[in-house]
Amino acid sequence: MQHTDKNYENQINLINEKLVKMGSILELQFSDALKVVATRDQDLANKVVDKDNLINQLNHEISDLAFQIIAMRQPMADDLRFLFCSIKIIRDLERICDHLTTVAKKGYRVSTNIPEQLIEKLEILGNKASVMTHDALNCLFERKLSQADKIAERDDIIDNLHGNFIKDVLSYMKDNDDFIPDSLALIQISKGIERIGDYITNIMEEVHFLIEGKYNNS
Amino acid sequence: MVNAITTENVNVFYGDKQAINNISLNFLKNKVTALIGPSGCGKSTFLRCLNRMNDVIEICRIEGKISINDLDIYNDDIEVEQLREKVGMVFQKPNPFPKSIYDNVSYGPKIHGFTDKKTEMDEIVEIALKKAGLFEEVKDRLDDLGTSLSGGQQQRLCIARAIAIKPEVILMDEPCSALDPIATSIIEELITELKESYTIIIVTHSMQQAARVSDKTAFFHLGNLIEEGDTSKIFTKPDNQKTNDYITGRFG
Amino acid sequence: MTNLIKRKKAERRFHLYGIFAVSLSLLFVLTLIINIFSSGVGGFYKTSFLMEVHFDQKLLKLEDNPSIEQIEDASFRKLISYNFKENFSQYSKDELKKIKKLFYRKIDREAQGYLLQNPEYLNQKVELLFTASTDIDQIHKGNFNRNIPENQRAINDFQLGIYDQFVETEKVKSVFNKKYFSSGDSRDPESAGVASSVMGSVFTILICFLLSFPIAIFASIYLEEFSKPGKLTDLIEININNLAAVPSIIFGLLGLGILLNFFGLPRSTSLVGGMVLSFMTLPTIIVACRSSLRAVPPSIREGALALGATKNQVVFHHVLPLAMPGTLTGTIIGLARAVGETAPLLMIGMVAFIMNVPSTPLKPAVGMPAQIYLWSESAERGFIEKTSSAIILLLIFLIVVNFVSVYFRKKYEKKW
Repeated sequence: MQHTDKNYENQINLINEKLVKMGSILELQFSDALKVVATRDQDLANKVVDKDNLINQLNHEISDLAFQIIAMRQPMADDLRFLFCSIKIIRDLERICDHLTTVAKKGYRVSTNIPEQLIEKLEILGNKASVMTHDALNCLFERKLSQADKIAERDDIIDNLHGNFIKDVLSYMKDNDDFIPDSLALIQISKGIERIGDYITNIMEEVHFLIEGKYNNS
Repeated sequence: MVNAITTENVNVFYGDKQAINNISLNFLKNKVTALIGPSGCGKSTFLRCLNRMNDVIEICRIEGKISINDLDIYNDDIEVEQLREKVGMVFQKPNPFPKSIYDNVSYGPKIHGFTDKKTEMDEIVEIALKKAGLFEEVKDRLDDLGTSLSGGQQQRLCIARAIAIKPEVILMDEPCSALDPIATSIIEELITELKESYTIIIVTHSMQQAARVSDKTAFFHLGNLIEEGDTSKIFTKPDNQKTNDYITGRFG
Repeated sequence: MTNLIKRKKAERRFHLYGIFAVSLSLLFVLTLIINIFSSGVGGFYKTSFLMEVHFDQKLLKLEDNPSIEQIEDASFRKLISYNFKENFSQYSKDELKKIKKLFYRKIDREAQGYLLQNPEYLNQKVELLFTASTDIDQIHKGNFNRNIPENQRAINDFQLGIYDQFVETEKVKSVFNKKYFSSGDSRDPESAGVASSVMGSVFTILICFLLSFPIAIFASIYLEEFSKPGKLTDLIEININNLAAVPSIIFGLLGLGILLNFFGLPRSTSLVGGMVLSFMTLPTIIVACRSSLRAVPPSIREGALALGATKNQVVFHHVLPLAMPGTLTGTIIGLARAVGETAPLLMIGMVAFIMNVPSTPLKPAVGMPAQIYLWSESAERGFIEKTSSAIILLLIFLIVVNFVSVYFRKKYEKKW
């Protein structure tokens, strides 16, 4: 049902639209960043870095708008929960994008003579995180908690994959001295993706509060 | 958690038109319960059943049980004047009698025969005015007309008048809707103090007021009780979608 | 813009119409008042002649230091005759008779009155004022033109000559007519007074008020606060409203038929008059009281009910006092009408010639309007002036009734 006050309805919808926009830019950034890791495309990496501004801008816009609504409208119930959670979620989304930028920046500098399996393992890790992100954003925008358990599982998987990847890189590094700069970059990329997983978990907690009105304390 | 008033399957009819549909709602002692809902939803009608003010309306018919201390107030044995000694009422528009401030407050105790000694009555009036937060402002002019006070003061006078007869429950029908914001917040603060000694049931159009002042909230719609519960829950995560829609301004 | 100018002009015109209407009515009122006052104010004064009287004890057949009763029993006629002879010794018997006619025919009673008040006059020669006859009174006041031919006058030339002598010797005085206020009706204009009619009106209005006011209030309270809406209540309402429009003489018939014939109450008394007038005044007060009761806001009633007041307490402690100003207004209107009503009083006989001032409402009386009518019918010229004086008094009476009610209304209004 729509708010009787059309302006109020429009304001709430605007925040939602911007949030959706932020989400779609994020997903694009994710696939681009992973592509940079695979192809070492410098131009694509620059594109990812530039696009980060858009995310920051949307972050500020949504924050200001939410603040205005809280001041002027005394929002209650679902409106209040939506605004409260949006403010927290955009922060996490912005952090995720920062990490993606780092992934891109480190990604194109990695030298091409890295063993393909390592890159592949990184790609798997990245894809898992990307799917997780996609599903979480779906939960948020559809206001449904259907995928919630799977998402929680995936975070554990990502943590494990990351742990294993670090081990693999370290063992490769042992045997190849001149690999150290690259291996540092790879570790940073993996770490970044693992952190993204944590942020997605935070976002899911907020989505739970948005839909259920309380946090999941399991 | 004791109930001050319990209501069971209450139906109210104005002639053929049904205004209240089968409502069962209990009111906790020494708590503030707010009744909210859009215009015409029956909250004022329901409130007025609790002190039988609807009796004065000829075509009004009430079914169901409303009990105070396990006594059905519509029982033939109950004298309505005694009921109203226990359940007081403050109205939307302040309505002090066109008599002196002193006479306004002493009227209730006088007709109920509390005392005929002037010194004791003086004390009763003083205590009531103090409890209503009005004494300091009027102690030097108790003989002035009640109607010469400002709106907010008049409403506090009406509250003093109601509590002078030592009720257990105070019913308030939109007590602040005719007052400015400062007078409103004074009354709201007063309500919070008064609940220590009385059970308060307040009908209000302002959801912010209900949120500020009440412990429990009940949402009425078209004569039905849609939802009731702790105020904090009703205003953050109500169970019923209709409640949510009303509170967020999606209708009403 | 021209539309605005037109509207303003129309408003100014309307304003002027209003001022014109008010001024015209004020002019009429002023004319009326001046007219009445100029013709009536003379009635409060009477012309008197100064004459020396010797209170000869022997002529009065009184002992030394007589008691009040003895003076009251004595006849003063011979004394007056004697004194006339003494004062006008130079005139013949015929002429003396004519001179006597210049005086009020009952001056023997006046002399008696003087002696009763001042017993020390006995055997003294005192110059006292004696009332002139009504004809001289009117001539002296200028109400009667003395220049018309002698055979068209009551006073002949000789008498006029004596009168002129008195005027020259300053024996003619215009004194305040106290008797006008203390005596009842009389055949003689000289001694006719308004006391009986004033007391008659006072008693009548008092009885009317004492009966109609409480009954009307209780009836209104019943109809407004306690009766259930229904056919019976509607019937009562319609009848009350219609009663207010019934011609007043019908109430007189009612009084005649029921109060006099059936109940056998004394005819022509203020009691019955008051009862008849109260029938008439009841509907007026009821209508005013009911609309005042209705005008009391329901919030007052609710406030009192919510404190646990019973229905009676709500009505008598709160609603009725607030309805008082309106009710009193209606009472003023009703009583003012009743003061001036004559027709119903005629039917029950309050139109007689009442000489004795009624001391209780059970004594025969006459109302002021009826008295005025009776006097206006009289042939005697002296009564014309008295009629106008009585009208002035009636108006003053009305104003007093008004002020009293307004005072009470203001007293109650203050509390609102």
